Amino acid sequence: MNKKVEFSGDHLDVLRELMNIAVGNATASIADLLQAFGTMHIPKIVISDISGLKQYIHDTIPIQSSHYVTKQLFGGPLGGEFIFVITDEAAINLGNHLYDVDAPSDADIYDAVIELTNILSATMISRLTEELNVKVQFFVPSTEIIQGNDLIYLEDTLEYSQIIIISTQMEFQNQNINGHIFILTKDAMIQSLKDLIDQKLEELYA
Amino acid sequence: MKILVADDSKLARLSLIKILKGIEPHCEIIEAENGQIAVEKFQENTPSIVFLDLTMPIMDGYEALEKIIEVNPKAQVVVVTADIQSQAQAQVIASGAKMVIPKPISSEKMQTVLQQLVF
Amino acid sequence: MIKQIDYPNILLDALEHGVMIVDEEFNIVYWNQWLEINTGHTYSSVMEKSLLTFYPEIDYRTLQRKIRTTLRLNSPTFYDASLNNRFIPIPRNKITSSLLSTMQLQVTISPYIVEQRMVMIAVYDISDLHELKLVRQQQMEKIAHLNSELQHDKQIIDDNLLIVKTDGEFHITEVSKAFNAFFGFKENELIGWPLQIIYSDKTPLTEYTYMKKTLQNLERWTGEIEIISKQSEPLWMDAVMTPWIAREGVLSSYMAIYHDITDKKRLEILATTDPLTKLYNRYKFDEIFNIMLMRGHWKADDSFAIVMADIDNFKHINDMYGHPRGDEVLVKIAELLAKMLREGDTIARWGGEEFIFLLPHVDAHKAMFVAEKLRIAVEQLGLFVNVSVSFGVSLYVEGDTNATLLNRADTALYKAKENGKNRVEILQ
Repeated sequence: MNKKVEFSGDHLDVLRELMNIAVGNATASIADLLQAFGTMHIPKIVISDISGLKQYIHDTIPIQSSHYVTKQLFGGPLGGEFIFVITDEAAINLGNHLYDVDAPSDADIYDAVIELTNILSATMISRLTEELNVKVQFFVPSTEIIQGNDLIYLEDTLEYSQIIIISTQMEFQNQNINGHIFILTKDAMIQSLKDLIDQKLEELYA
Repeated sequence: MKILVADDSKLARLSLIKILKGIEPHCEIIEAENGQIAVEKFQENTPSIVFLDLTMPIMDGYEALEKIIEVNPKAQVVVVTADIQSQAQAQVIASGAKMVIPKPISSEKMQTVLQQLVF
Repeated sequence: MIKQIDYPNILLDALEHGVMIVDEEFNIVYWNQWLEINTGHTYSSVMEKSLLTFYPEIDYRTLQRKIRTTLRLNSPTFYDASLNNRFIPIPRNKITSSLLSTMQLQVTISPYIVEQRMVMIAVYDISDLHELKLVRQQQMEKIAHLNSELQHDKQIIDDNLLIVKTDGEFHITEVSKAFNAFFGFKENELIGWPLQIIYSDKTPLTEYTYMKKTLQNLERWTGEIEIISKQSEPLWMDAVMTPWIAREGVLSSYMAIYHDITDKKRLEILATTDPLTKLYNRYKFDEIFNIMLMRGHWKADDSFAIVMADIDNFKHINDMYGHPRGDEVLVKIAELLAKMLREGDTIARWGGEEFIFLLPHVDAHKAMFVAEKLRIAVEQLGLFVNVSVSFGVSLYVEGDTNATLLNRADTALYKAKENGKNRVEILQ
């Protein structure tokens, strides 16, 4: 069992502000891709555990639709998992938009969703790690279609993990393309994150 | 010279102030953590420049901007924001802001801002 | 001799995936050995030429967009070339499975020299993985289909069968919609209560004990049982209860299915009940009598007795007071006699003014004792006229049949009448 890492008000403030900037960048990137205007959503930060994560996802993602769920790992001094969730309806709209066909094929839609995830993770995570002065390595993302909102598979062994959930939304109302973004880090990485934020705070007060 | 810095994030305010002080060490800084306080402090202090964040609780930056322009149509408001879409920027300029700067503000950018608005 | 400058090339050629370097106009600047071998195009033939020359069918608009994104973000872009026009088609040599004839490629576009708008494109053969994914997808679809059929069947069962499920302690855990509708209960009204709560008070304890014992032995139990509706109406049900074994042979619950036999029971009662006294009729008594006989295992000190009883001077009562009042006497005596019996004893109307009893688990002494108790009770009844009953007792011994027992009891009754009436006689 790991010792729980405590985040002070200052730590959370820094993380929130950095994520704000990251989300702003990401929204602008996607706006560029879609040639549209997006609504920025303030990211929420929650520190919880595995069951808290499951509950949070259940509360955030509606159970009625089926969703394209893309997961991508990132690594380095700060590592974690980037998840992008989009309803199949919005995914079709996205496919339409990017591939300029009336009825995008399944392959087109998969491709569009991965392309979007690529851009989102690259902008958000790169920005975040840049501000924290560390490098990041991206891994191959994978997508699957899931009915309802059971997006994650739980192992009993991870019961005691501490998890930071950073969540936000991507909203392009006019194009009916909306999605949820979750950035997760756990245990040792949370300590890493805290140390990096401490360094940032030091710079500030120096 | 009085400068008003409005942002709900302490980090954002401190970084901006640090950069400001680096260029103008003798300026007087007034801080506000939401739009409502920003408007109040603007009325009380008549600062030469206002640095305004858009996403704040109680009253956001858009509303605060409108109110400040109402009080003084010549107010020099610089919106500092994470939302860097050109359409967002255009909206804010139309509402009366003199400039829109992406976060986090760099020292060079700050120089440009001060040159354009003050000197 | 290998020059220093050749090492990167040797390295790239040793890789087990394809590597090329192109600019945003798709001009090829590097092409590794893996690509040479698998596409058939040599390094020298492709160098400085555009990819379009060799692969005109690729969706270049999309590819260019991805290359530009990579350069703009200075970050890698990943995608599956699941369709041939997404990237270069590379033939797959697998013969033993036919799902894919060209390689399924994982494509990674990484920034190379951003200022010169050059990217590195790496391709990995993920055909085997993709085949597994396709198979898994098919299986998931099949499962989803079966699940929906299962749901449909479950719905039909829930809507039409009267089913109650309990846990290992016979507390109700689930009730079908049809059951609630039939008996007038609200959803979840019965959940958590012991199963006994729905059964009529008249259900003997021995029935429950037998039921629970059978089920706990992991055997099926069937029986007829009365269930009380929400409106307190008792309804006869045919019941089948089965233990439900979860995985690993561990008991998880009991399931009871009920079938409405109210009408059947009505007919049955009509066929087995004397309408006036509401006692069993002869037909029903014979049935019970036969069961007793077949049980066997009777010993001298633990046998069963047949008692025949006849109301004394009944014809006289009818003549004196009329048949309606006579019937009244009959009914009152029947009620009294029935009330005084022990649990397990049977009483039936045998004839006009005759009753017959079956008393299990008695010896001669006990049988006489019971009959005497009944005789005294009638004597003290206190009706508008004095009444009494004569009793004839016979005890089963090995070898006895219906006829022999009835005969002896009848003879004993005759003896009682001869000896003054209002008495009990036994014939061994």
